[in-house]
Amino acid sequence: MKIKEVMIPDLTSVSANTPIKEVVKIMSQQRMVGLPVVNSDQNVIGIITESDITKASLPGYYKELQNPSFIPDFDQFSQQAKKIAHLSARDFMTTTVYSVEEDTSRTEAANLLFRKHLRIVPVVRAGKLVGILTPSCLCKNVMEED
Amino acid sequence: MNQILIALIIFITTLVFVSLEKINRTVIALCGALLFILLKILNQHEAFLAVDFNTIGLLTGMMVMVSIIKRTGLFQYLAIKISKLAHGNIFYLLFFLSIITGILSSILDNVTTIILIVPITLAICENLEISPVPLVLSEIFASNIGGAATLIGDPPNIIIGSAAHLSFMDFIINIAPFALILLILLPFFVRLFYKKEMAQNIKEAWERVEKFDEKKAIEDPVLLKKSLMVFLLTIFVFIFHHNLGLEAATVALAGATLLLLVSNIDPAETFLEVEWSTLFFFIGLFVVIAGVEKVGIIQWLSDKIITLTKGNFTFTTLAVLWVSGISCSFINNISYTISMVPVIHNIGAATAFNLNPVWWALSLGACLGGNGTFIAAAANLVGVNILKRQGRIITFKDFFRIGLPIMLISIILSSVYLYFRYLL
Repeated sequence: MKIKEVMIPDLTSVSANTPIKEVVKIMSQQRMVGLPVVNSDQNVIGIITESDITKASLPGYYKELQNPSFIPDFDQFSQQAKKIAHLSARDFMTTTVYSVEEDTSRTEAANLLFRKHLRIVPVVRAGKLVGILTPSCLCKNVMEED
Repeated sequence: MNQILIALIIFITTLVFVSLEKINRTVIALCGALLFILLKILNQHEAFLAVDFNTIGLLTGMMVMVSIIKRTGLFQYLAIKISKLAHGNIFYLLFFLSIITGILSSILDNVTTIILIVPITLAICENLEISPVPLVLSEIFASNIGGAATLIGDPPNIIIGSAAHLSFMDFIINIAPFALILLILLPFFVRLFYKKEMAQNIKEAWERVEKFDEKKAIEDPVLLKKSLMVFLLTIFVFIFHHNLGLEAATVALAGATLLLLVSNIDPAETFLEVEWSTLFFFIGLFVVIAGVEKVGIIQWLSDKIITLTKGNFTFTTLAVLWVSGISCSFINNISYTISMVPVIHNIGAATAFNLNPVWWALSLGACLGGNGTFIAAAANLVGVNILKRQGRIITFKDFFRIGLPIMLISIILSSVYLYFRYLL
């Protein structure tokens, strides 16, 4: 079975200039853990995930602390999140994108998803976005098979 | 003659590459060691015998214990608790953070201390909206000073203690009081250097630090109790280890094993945190120095030092202190100390000096030299890198401008201390 039969044919994506505030809004509305970043030709040039945005929203020292639970308030998290809200997807997206061609086999795609611990993979046709693949849609497809 | 030349080339190349840090230092030390064996200057048996397993055992034992205690959150708790004593005074904050860093560093290795303390400092500084640079630099200096205080504080002391049969208490009696004085003086010096930063008012923002709940830093209270009991017992046994006829490595490994037993933590998990790379670095260097010693270079160097100092004990001791301090500002203090141990043994054998003051001079020089440049000690690099990740770039020159004077002042004070205590 090819990936084009398994993928979600959802073309929701953002451009590199989309503000983070907008990216987060789309993610939240569409209940997506990440979004492909495309150029004007719909070529995938990056991917931005919830995790990229969360990491950027944390004050720098959070990542260094063994356990930050002694800090009582949410102030610095919210300050930092507000600071990055107007920056664009370009600033936080991952440019090394793992994508799969729509004709890729399920096995090959599953291998990529699970080995690289990816939560979302753009499906492309000649570099252009045609859908997305997630671990859950792959599992759903397998489980619902006769 | 050929063997001497080959040994010298391997030795100098090893030292230079270890200090340049372009290639992993452990790989370099192991290459040097293997060359001595492959070129038949040492045989495998001699190489094995050259490794000081008392040093390796002590390091391993302490690494295991610290990796377990670290999980409890105790060190974060202590750092926050003591910072709160500053009560909104920026100099007191600098003072208390430096002192706790020095004290922790005297029982933990310097890098671990910096990894634990600097993030807390960053959190405090961010809340106070002040630059963390003066505080973090002071902590780096304090970690090197504190490390000098005890047998287990810094690798050069572990090497010296093992080679010279100096006990935990010998270090506590001879070095710790002086290290404490240096530690207390340090924040005053840093204040002189960062007058503008130290004049900032942090009273209004202090409320945010007061809100830090240090109790929440304790992650595992049960493990904390067990760890503290075993750790204190280990320190207690360290105090009497010579009287009990126990080597330091036995004490540290017994403590580590007991802690593994009572904590029920999977040893495989703990061993992942043991710095095997550091241990193999030591092993490689011990073999390299044994090779150099076997061909007679160490003996030649020792004879030269005796001729140069004309057998004058005071001059020899102070020369060891100053050469060590300056050398260890630029080259790795572990390789330097391992090289100097046989030299000092030879000087002792040829002159019948009471070598203890010379060992203290080597210890102070090697540990305090670490403050001279940011490449001098691993803790410096780790601290500077954490700052870099926060967007605060400290260049070699930035560090040198404050590190060199601190190193020189501490070596001058060490000269005075050694002179009045042992040489007068």
